[in-house]
Amino acid sequence: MVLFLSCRDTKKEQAETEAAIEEIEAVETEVEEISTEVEKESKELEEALKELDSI
Amino acid sequence: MKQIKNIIVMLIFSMLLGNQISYAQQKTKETKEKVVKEKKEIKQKKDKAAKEVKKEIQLERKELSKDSKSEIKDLKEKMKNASPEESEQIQKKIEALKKNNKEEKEKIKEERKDMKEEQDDDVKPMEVVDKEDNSEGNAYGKNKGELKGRAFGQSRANEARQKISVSQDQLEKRKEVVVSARQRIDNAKKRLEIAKAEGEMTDEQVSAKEVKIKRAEEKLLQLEQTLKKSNEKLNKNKEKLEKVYENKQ
Repeated sequence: MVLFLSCRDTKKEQAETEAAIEEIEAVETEVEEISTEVEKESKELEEALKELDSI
Repeated sequence: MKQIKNIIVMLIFSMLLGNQISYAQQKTKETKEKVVKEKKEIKQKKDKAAKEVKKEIQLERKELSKDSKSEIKDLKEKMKNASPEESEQIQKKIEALKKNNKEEKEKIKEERKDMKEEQDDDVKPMEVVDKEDNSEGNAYGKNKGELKGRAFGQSRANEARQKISVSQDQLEKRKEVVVSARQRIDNAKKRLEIAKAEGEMTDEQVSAKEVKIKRAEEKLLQLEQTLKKSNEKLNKNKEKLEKVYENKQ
């Protein structure tokens, strides 16, 4: 009985962890996308600003 | 009767064994959580030190660039009224100033590298532990070194939180970039107005420069909007992470 309960708890915990990890990975992916987009736009702005220095 | 006795003995034995197993599991969980906490504290200390160094270097850079820029501006203004010989001399001075600026920037970079190396040396043992942890990949449930299940999930959540805070710091820095970019665009507009008033440029030249200014303004606006949206997204993701383990407690 104890072994059965312990196994059941482990499985439940594993399923919960799986779900949590999926959510966490989704968050991390979004954070990476944000960083990439901001980086790209900053570079574009910097290039546009460099052209202004000749004015 | 004997069978009943045997069954009772077996039951008592299995209950004792079960208790022992659950006790042992709890103990390992506690020690793992302690390790995770210690790691987190050391990482936070490292981040703080790195931020302080960065701030100092940024301040130095700003001061340097302000001084040299103002000098260069003054010289350029002088150039307008100077004779060809004087203007050559002024041009040389400007070039020398620019060279100095570059050299000083390189020095700051080297200092920064040295500081980083020092910090890395301080935290080396922990990094070695981290590498060992990462070597086991991203399988669910029982990975991340010796961490398993809930402890692993919590450590992954902490990592994600740290990534978000790093990303938020980057956004803050970008806001400073936006302010300086606006300043540069305003300066360019002023310079163009002066040039127009003095009749130094043809209509084509003026319109080409106006296009450049407009393009920079568009890029600036785009970045501002992205920064705003990104900040909102990061805050939402932070809340999501808080809820991931809140719901399951």
